[in-house]
Amino acid sequence: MSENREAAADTGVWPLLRRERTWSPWRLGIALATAAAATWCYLIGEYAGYYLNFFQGSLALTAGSMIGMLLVLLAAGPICIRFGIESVASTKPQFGSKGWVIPALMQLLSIIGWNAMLLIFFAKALTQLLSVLGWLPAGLGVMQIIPFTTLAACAIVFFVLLWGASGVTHLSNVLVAHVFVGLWMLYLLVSQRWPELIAAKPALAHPDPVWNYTTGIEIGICSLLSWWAYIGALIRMAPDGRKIAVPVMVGMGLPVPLLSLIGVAGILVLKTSDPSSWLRNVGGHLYAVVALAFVAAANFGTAIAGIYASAIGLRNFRRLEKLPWLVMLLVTIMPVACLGVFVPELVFNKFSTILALIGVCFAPLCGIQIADYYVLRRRQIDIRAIYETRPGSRYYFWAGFNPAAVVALVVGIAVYVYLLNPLTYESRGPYRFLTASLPTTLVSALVYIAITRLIVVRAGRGGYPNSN
Amino acid sequence: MTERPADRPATGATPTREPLDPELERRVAALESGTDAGSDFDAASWFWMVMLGIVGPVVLLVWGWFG
Repeated sequence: MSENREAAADTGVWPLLRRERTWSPWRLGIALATAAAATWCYLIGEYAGYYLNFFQGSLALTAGSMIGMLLVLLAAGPICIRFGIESVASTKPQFGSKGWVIPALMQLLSIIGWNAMLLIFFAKALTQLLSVLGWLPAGLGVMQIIPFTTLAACAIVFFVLLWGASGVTHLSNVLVAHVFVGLWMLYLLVSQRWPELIAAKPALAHPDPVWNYTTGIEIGICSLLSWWAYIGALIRMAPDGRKIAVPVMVGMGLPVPLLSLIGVAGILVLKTSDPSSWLRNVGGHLYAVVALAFVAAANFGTAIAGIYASAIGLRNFRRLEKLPWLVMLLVTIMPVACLGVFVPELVFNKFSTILALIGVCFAPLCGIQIADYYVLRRRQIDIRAIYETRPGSRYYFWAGFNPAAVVALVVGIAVYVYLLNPLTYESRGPYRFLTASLPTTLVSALVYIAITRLIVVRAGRGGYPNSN
Repeated sequence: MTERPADRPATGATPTREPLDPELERRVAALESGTDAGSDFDAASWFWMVMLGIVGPVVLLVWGWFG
């Protein structure tokens, strides 16, 4: 009985015990790299390539990505790795025993948005692959078949994830090869078009070069902040916080900027970031098949990690806590499938909005978590209180919500929107020197610390070390 | 670093424990005992995080701007 419970532990939201957390640093790094490398990399690169040349775009994106990865790791990492819990549960000490629904909704919307897009990418690539191979049924266009390939992709994700975390890791061992295929595609483009690439001018460059450079950094930070939603469910499978820093920073942080260079180079030289569009011109039929297979595989790996993280996160809702894993997967995949089947183009065309909303929401969240864990709680977390919901329990605060976290989140969002309108990219004030994500993280952290010390601690709420 | 229940600071919280699901209780108790909890970042982890998340990006940004 106990063995069955432990075998199913990775499909539940309760903390994993050390002996159930079997991923080595290598295994973790491979799973994270497979999750990180997806078609969004081309789009991230494309956006950077609108403002920066190849040299500056590469360095700004890489630097921004590594900074974003560090913020995410510092925010969710310690609590998740110490107690074997996922990202949403790690927010209960800050948001409260009911307030965690706020980050849970942020995670859900982020993962549904990303995964709907990725599965549509997957379906498009699969459909194009069928077309290139001549296997597309006569009379059917690409757009007509995408809903069916989206459903097929959702079905594959569902069946793989029936194995829980082991489904993620087994598939990662195979799909990680696509990272190297991506680097090969980058090599092809760079080696064949180097003179053009170096000379290429970004199409939408701002007159202010500092603004362009900062925007490249901001795109990198924003993109990696989206890993907050994924990181807990994956790193909790590793037993030791002392061995996850390098796998996370290199495995999850580095593949995104490296593969984004395909998008930067593509948009600068060929005016398209999608390698399945240009690789046929470079290498003919065979290269087109390789590119499309790469795009399909890349998105598939990320979608599986995303759906897994989302399903585990949803388990925090008490009504879903004990739902059979099979039903839980259906609940998680259904919205993604609906978006992919009914409004695929809408999702596809709103990539920049999804990216912007992630930066707006997750930057303050990271600031709040970092301030709470390192400054206010001095690394002391009560794992029992994370699961207690009654009034008077340590993380109950007021009516289950911590006003300090809610206010800090709202202030952070306001600061971000003031500095950089995420929809129009119009900026104000110190954005050109500071980015929008970094000041947002800092301001949220400061507001959270101030309100906590002035109100929450004095009221004896929240279980802080120096509470009354 | 995990606090034991006996070490909890006074918070005005109710002194009685809230009953948890038996399986969750088993897991929480195991984590509270410290034997089944994971460890926090150590000095080597902080070194790599600072190098890869702060020093490295600063070097790249300086190189990109002046290079």
